[in-house]
Amino acid sequence: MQNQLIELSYAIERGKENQASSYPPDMKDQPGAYELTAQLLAENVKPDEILKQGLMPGMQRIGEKFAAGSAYIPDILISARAMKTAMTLLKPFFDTGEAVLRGTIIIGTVAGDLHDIGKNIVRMALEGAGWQVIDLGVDATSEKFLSALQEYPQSIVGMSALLTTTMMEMEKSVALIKDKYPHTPIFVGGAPLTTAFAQKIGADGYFPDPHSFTTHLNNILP
Amino acid sequence: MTSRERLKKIIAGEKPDRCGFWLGNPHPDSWQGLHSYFGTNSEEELRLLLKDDFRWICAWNVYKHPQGKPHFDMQRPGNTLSEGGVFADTDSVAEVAAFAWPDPQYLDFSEYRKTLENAGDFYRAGGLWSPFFHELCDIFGMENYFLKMYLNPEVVHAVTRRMIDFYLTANRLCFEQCGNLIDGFFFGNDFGSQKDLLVNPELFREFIFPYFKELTDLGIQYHKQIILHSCGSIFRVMADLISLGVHAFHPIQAKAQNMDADTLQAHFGGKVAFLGGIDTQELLVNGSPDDVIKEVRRIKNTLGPGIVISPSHEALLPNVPPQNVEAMAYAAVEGN
Ligand code: B1M
Repeated sequence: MQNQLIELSYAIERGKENQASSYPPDMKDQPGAYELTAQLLAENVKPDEILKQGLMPGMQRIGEKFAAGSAYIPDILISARAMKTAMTLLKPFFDTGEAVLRGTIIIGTVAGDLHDIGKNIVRMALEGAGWQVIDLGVDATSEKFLSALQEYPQSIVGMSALLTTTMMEMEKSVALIKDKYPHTPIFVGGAPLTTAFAQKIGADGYFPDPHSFTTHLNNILP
Repeated sequence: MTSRERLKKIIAGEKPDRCGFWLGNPHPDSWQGLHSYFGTNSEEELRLLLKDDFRWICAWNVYKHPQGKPHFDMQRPGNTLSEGGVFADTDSVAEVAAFAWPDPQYLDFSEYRKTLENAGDFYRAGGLWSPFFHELCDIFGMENYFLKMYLNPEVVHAVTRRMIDFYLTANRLCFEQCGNLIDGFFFGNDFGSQKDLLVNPELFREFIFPYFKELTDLGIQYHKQIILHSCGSIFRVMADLISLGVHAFHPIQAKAQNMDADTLQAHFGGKVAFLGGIDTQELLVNGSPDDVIKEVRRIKNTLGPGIVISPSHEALLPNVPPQNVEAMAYAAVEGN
C-alpha cells in the first residue's frame, strides 16, 4: 500500500491524470491519479490517508519546485488537474463527514483588481494541501469577504492584489473584517506586496508564493 | 537633432545628443490629475511640455467589419484572462478551421495613415499590437491554453497559426501602405510574472518563439526597428529574443526578478536598447521627486546611451503624483 501511495503522489507531481491521458509522454499507458486512487479505495485504504499520503505530497513537491523556479504555472495546473480528478473519488467521503478536510479558507482578488492567475494558483495549492477553499473570484469587495465569513465564520482569509492602487483596498477590507471578526487570521499576497505592508495594514502575514503560505498554515494549524 | 532622429539612433545602438523620454500612456483615470497639475488641456500639449520623444501610434481600429465584429471574436463570458473563450473545450483541429477567422478584406489603413502623417517629428511606434499570447489566453482561457500546451499541442499550434497569419497579413498591408511613416514595429505580450516567465522556457520555445520570429522577420523585412513589450521578468529568454531580432525591450519592469538595470547592463548592454525602467511599483508611487531624479540619473548612467527613460508600466496609474512624473521627465532630458 505504501508503494501505491508513493506512486499516487508521483502521478500527482507529474500531472498524470488517468491512464488514457497523453501527458506526460514518458508515463504513457501507466495508471494515473484516478486509477491509483480507485485501487487504494478498493483496498479499503482510508480516504484521509489517500489525501494526506498520496495526493498532498505530490502537490507539495510540485509547489516546492515552483517556489524554487524549477517548475512553472503549466506544471502546477496539470498537477492540480490530476488532483481534482482523484478528488472526485474521495469527495463522497468528505461530503458524508467520513473524512474531513483541514479547514476552510476564503480567498479572493481584492476590489478593483482583475488579476486572478496568482490567486488561482494559490487556490490550487491550498486544495492540494487539504483545505476547503471558498473562492470569491476577482474584484472581491469587503462586503463579499464579510458575507462569506458570515457563512463560514471559522475560516481563514486570504487576499491577493497585483496593483499598487488595489493593494490599498486591502487595508480597508482588513480593517472591516478585523472589526467584526477580530480573531480571523488574514493573510495577503501578490506581486507588489511586502511583509512591511502586511504589518502596516494589520494583516497577519504576507507570503510571496503559495508554498510558503501553505507551509505556514501547516505550521500554525498542523 | 529631432526626437525622431534621437530615438532612431538610441534604438539602433548609436549615441544620441541626449537621453530619450517617453511619458508612457497614462491610465484614463490619471489624465485629469496630470492636466490640472501641469496646466495642460490635451495629451499632446502635455507631451510637448515634458519633451516626450515618442508617439505610440498603434493600428488599433483598422479592422472594419460591416457588423462591427472584432477581428477575433473571442466570445468570452467574463473579463479575466482565466475565463475560457470560444476554444475553451476544443480538442479538434477541424473545429479550429471552422471558426470565423478574420477576413483581411475588412482591413482599412486610410485613417491610420492620416494620423501618422500628422504625427510631427517624433518617433512613431506603430503597426498592429499583435498580442497573440494574450489573445490565445483569451480564446482558450489562460489555464486551458497552458494545459493544452501539454495535452493538445496540435490545437494550440492550429489556433496560433491562424492568429499569426492574420497579424502577418495585416502588418504587411500596414507597412506597405504606411511605409516610412512608421519607425518602429511596437508589439506586445506579457510573458512574465514578478519572478519568472509565465510558462516553462521549453514551452516558450515550442509555442511562442517560432511565431514571434515570423513577426520580427516581417518588421525587419520592412526596415522597422523591433520593439517588444512584455511586462514581468523575461530575463530567461531575452538573449533568445535578441537573436530573433528584437532591437528594444519595453517596459523593463525594474522590480521584477533580474530586470534591474545592473543585471540587464551586465548581460545585454550594447546588444539591445531599453525603453522604460523607472519603477512604478514603488518608486514613482511612494518616492519623492528627489528620489525619482536620483534613480533616473542612475539608470541613465547604467544603461545609457541605450535607454529611453519611461515608466516600468506605460499605464501610469492615478496614484503616481504628478510631481514624480515631472521629476522623471526633467531628469530624463537633462544633460546628455
Ligand atoms: C493570500 O495569500 C496569498 C499568498 C500568495 C499570493 C497571493 C495571496 N496572491 C498572489 N500570491 C503569490 O502566489 C502567486 C503564485 O506564485 C503569485 O501571484 P502573481 O499574480 O504574482 O503571479 C501569477 C502566478 C502570474 N502573474 C500574473 O499573472 C501577472 C502578470 C502581469 C504581466 C499582468 C497581467 C498578466 C495582466 N494584467 Co497587469 N499584469 C502585471 C503583471 C506583471 C507582474 N510583475 O506580475 C501587472 C500587475 N499589471 C499592471 C498593470 C498596470 C495593469 N494590468 C492590467 C491588466 C492585466 C491583464 C488583464 C492584461 C493581465 C491579467 C490577467 C489575469 N487574469 O490575471 C490592468 C489592470 C486591470 C485591473 N483592473 O486589474 C493594468 C492597470 C494595465 C492597463 N493598461 O490598464 C502592473 C501594475 C503596476 C502597478 N503600479 O501596480 C504590472 C505589475 C505590470 C507592470 N509592468 O508593471 C504570488 O504573487
